[in-house]
Amino acid sequence: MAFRFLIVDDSAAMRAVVHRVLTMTGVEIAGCWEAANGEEALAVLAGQKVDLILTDINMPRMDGEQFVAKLVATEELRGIPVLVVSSAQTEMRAMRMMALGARGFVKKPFLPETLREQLLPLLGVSHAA
Amino acid sequence: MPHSDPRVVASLSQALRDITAEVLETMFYVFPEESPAEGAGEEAWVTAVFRFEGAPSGVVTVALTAGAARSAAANFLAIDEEETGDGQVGEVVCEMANMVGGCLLGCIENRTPLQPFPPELVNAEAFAGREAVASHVFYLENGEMRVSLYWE
Repeated sequence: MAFRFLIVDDSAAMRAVVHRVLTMTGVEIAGCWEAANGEEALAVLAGQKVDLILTDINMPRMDGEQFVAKLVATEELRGIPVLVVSSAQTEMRAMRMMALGARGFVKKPFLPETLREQLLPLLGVSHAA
Repeated sequence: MPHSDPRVVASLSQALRDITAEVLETMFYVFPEESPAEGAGEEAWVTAVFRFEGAPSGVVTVALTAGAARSAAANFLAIDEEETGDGQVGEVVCEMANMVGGCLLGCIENRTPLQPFPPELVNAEAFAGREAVASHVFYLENGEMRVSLYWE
């Protein structure tokens, strides 16, 4: 089964790295979209269905916390699993996002295996090639 | 001020060193060496800062010689150094500062969360003459890296 992803981070370099790590997980990728903040992410979601969202927290215009709040307030979007990928100083905010409905938190810096371990259960995959 | 306590400063200095080494190794596949490469330190520097406000306010600076910065950026993005543009190098050094600074805040924060700001590139001389709370030099295969913490 192939999955569709949305990566939300204001750093294009970090989005590229998360995309690369996704390809290393062994999960088949049907599509991968990118957004630089929550606002852009909501615009993507207006036109695309995705299976998982990976989001940073500190972003301009609409940060990760505001983005997750919008997601859970929107009936057709609230079921999409959200994995927070951010640096350690935002752990408290990540916990608040988990309370809102985010399903996992990966601290930067991270090993590809760490992302994979968090990702697979959210996709309902026990292991990937 | 508790953050000037020599034991606190020593602890933060050690944390800055450990966090930087972890970021370099985990995300950039760069492993610090024992001694400087020939000619290291003579190149231009790419410097990014990560500022934070609160109690205390401060800044973490991450500076790499041009060759080391390009090499780290290529590793981070998994592309050839020849394909790595100056814009990408700057963005990657900013992301490096974001990770080092972000992790270090977890060691600085007490009861009140500190407010971080997006990392930005600055002139390499921006902090010349200022006394750092903690500073470390890492010798890399293609140059040097300096990471420092200042109170503001």
